[in-house]
Amino acid sequence: MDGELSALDISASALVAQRIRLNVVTENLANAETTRGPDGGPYRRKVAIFGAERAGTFDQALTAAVSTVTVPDIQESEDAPRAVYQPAHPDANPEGYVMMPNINSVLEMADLLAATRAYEANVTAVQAAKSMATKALEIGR
Amino acid sequence: MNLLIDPTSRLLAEMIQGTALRHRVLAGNLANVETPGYQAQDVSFSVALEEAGRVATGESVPGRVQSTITTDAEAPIRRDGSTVDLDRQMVRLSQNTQWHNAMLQILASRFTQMKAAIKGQA
Repeated sequence: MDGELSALDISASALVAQRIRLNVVTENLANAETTRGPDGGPYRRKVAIFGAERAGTFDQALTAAVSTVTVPDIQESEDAPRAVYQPAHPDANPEGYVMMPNINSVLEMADLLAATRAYEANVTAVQAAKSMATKALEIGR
Repeated sequence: MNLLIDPTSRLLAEMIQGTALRHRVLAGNLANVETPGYQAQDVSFSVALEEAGRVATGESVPGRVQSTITTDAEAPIRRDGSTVDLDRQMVRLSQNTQWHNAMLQILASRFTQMKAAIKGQA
């Protein structure tokens, strides 16, 4: 468990990253029908980008090879919004079409499930690290 | 670890450090289960006999443990380029934890035996 980055730090970074992803998915689902986004147009789907981050300096050959995970960016999708014919809608354009966010609830739910599964896997890793540390305390007792 | 003067305890201690490293590598794989293009890693152990000559006399010679971080080049690649298989990583994590805890148990009982010997108990 020595080295600059402990097992708990690695797993903690994963829990943080999956929670960020969860928040992004929840925001997408909540705004599936938002026609007036911050820039005036329809809400744009957000995607959390994951990246691996090498830990330690390169003279510590063993610790440098272990990675944490980070979310370096939350990008807004460039997908075109859906056009729905609703002439009575206050945000309808002159042709009667409302530009709706291009959010597929099924895809977002699948993303939610994947994030939950990854979160649970990393919680198991935390439990394992804790059991190993507790066990080590029993030496010489 | 300077107090561990006998080779077997030293071997155990080195293996325990090896499994601790493996846990960190596997935790890194699990942390990056959703990172595109990430290559899953593992740790392999090899025990090198210190003096090959003594093997011929039939003495058992505990050696030194070498831990190497490896990347599996033949692992199946997902659509996003990652080679992390969640189920396989979870199984390895579980096996590694059990192995680590088992060796800690053995090391702990060695110390208990040493203490009993020092105290003169049977």
